[in-house]
Amino acid sequence: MKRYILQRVLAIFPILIGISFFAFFLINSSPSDPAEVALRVNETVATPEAIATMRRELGLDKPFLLRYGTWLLDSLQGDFGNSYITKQPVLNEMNKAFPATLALASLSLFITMGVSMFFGIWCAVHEGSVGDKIVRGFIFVGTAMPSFWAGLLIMWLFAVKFDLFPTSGMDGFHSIILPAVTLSLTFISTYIRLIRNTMIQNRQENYVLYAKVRGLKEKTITRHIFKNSLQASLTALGMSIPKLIAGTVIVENIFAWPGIGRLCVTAIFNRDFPIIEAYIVMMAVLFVVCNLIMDIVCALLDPRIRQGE
Amino acid sequence: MSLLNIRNLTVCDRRTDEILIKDIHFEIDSNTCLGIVGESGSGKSVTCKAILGLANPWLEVTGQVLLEGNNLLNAEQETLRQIRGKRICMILQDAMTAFDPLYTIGCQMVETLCENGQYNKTDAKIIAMETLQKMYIREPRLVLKKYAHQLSGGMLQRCMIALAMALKPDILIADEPTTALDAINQREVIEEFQRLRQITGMAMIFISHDLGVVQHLADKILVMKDGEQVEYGPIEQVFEKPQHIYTRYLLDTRKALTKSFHEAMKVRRSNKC
Amino acid sequence: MNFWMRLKSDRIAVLCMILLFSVVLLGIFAPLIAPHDPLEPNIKFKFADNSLEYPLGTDQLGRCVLSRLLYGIKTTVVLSLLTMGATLFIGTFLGIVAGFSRGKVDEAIMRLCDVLLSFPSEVMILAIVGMLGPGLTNVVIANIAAKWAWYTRMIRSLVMEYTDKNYIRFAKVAGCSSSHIMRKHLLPGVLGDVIVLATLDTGWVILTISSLSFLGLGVQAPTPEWGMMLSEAKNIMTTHPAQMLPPGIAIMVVVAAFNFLGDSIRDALDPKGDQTKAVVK
Ligand SMILES: Nc1ncnc2c1ncn2[C@@H]1O[C@H](COP(=O)(O)OP(=O)(O)OP(=O)(O)O)[C@@H](O)[C@H]1O
Ligand SMILES: [Mg+2]
Repeated sequence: MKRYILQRVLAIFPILIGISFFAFFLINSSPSDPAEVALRVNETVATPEAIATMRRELGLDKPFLLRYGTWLLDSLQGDFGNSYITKQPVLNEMNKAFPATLALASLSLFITMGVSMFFGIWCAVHEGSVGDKIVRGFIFVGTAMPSFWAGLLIMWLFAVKFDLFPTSGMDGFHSIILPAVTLSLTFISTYIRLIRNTMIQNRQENYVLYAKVRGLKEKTITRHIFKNSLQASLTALGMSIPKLIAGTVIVENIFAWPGIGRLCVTAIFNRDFPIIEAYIVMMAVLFVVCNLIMDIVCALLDPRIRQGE
Repeated sequence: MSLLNIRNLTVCDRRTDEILIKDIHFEIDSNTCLGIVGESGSGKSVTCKAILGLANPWLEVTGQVLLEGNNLLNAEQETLRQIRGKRICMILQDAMTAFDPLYTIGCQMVETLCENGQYNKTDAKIIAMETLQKMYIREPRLVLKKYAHQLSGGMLQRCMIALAMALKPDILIADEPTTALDAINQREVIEEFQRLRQITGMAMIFISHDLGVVQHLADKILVMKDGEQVEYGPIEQVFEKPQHIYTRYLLDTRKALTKSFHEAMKVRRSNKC
Repeated sequence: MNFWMRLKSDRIAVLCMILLFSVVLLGIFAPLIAPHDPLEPNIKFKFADNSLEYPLGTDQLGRCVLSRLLYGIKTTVVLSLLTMGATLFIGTFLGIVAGFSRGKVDEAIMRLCDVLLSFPSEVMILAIVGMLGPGLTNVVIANIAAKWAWYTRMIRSLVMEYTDKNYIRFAKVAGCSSSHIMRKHLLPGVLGDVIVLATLDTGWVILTISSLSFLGLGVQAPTPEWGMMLSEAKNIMTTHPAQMLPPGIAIMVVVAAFNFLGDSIRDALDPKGDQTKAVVK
């Protein structure tokens, strides 16, 4: 098991290097010259001399690979440079915004897991019943509904019409509910469907037949099926944690939630490259690390992987 | 009234309207053994699953399965559950996939014993260990701690047989219980089945490809072909005066096989000299 | 039963196809059908109710909502289809090249795909829009860039499967040129599976394009686009919430139709899966 974990951990390093290179390359191949952008946002006239000075200041006159190396070393120490706009270190900006996003994403993950496990199992057990059909109708609407529209409708209903929650901003627990629910909606439909279908598929497996032959109680059999289905669901969940955080971009903008999603969109409008760069790297790292953690959790659940095949 | 009485058992695939087995008839008393033989795909396993009410939802089962006069096909799910394991137990054909891969064999045996009898966990563990020992498993304590993927097919099959023995059902359905075992183990296990029957007086349905094994164990025999029952009767009668060409064919091929086997042995022996 | 027969016998699939086809037609002929100019403001008729002249009423600038919706089809649906088409083209091309040539070219293409696929596509799109700046063209490019790797990988493995089949080996032995083999034998064989993937993904592309427009990163005002219209509706939510309905419902119906159609095509291609689905029902 230890070897498996070690292997998996070591395997992510090349991927991380590839990702960082890609992010750096992406930003540096932008059609707009960062030096020019930096000047423009400072409202300096972009004369050729000014651009040249700025280029030197930003280190843009050095060769690409050298710049990448410097950038990578700096990033590893948490130095992503300074924002063009606020002049603050990017890390500070990120640190300020990250807790808000983390809170939003965790609550939403919690809601997603609770709701989809409950309904997923319920629907699988009561397959074909009226309740199952209703839930499947909701799932269908959920997957086709744009999340920003759902967010607007929720906001209108609960914040404008009934005035139960604030429409936007972050003050107190009250204000996190609507964004978190909106964020969960898309994922909930995917997960209910996933859990339900895996469980139904598992029910046709031979081990379930034998469990029935042995005269086990329905509850025990459901437990067996659930544990076997959990793996597929967990893998998908691991994949979607970064998707969840990426999904905060929309929700944070609807509800004016001061997280990194909003930071990133503002940065895109302002062409604030250091922040965009840091955002991309952070998301990619998150994605890789989440996958790693989920793989390890799955291995812990599954004796076949745990004991190294 | 016999213990288990099957009448007109027919299974139809509702998706394709294909008839998988048709009008199966047989009965079985306690302390007797019925052997079912037939080629692959003739519907032996489907018959067993239908008896236990475990056919897949898309299969339509008609006819009667009478356990002491009560028709199991109209029984409540809960009644059926009570019957499975306690009164009728089955050994599945595919041992490799029969156990849940995420729980140890011991855990699954203990949970079965606990839910079907009045055992507590420690008793159940001891019983599981004892029965495994009876199945010639040398280190039952270790085997109980293993997961399905760590054991061979034969080993798993023996675990299944052991569990069936520990449950002491009235009727045991064994679906090709010896296919995964080598010849020596096969003999031992079949002997064990024989002994088990003598001690507990349980009724047994024994499915096999091997006419020799069936001849050795069974009192009655049922021959199936393409989902239909072509021959049913006491074993001596069927072996001496087979009614159906297919049965005759089966018996003949068996003779031919044993003959060619003997000849091959003779040749080998003469070569050695 | 072959694929088309099965698809035709599926009533929902036929309905979805008819719906989508008419939506596309409406979008293409929007200038002829639309009752008004979608950009023409009419301050006197702000927030007009439904009437014969304005079937869906007017918005905060007095523009005809129906006309904007119809013109929006072109930006949202037609553009998504084009995006999908371009993605498919690139993916199929590179996938076939990689799968057919194997060796070094294959290796290079696959490594690139690996890196691209290690990002969630949502992040990838944001990254590219971030690099290129907001704007409709950039959103389309971002969508293509985020998706082609999926298709390339998928098609490559399909191609590998097909090239191992005998008639292609035979063509190779018979000395047909590579491009001839690709065109005549590989493309038709691979096409079926790709269509399913593409249909399922088109709904997703529509959602992304309209989401980005909603954020202001895609289509810029005043061009009519469904996500854009919702973003405008957001500002007047407290006073005129009904403005949120037409564009939202439009997106949902079209995406749902694509999803349904994708599922139906999948079932029609794979009748065995169909059976289990019938059981699940
Ligand atoms: N769940 C099912 N749904 C539909 N058809 C089935 C199902 N199970 C079995 N069949 C079909 O029923 C027929 C009989 O299968 P069965 O498993 O009973 O054969 P068998 O006699 O046990 O063969 P073997 O000796 O190989 O175990 C086969 O043609 C099989 O395809
Ligand atoms: Mg069988």
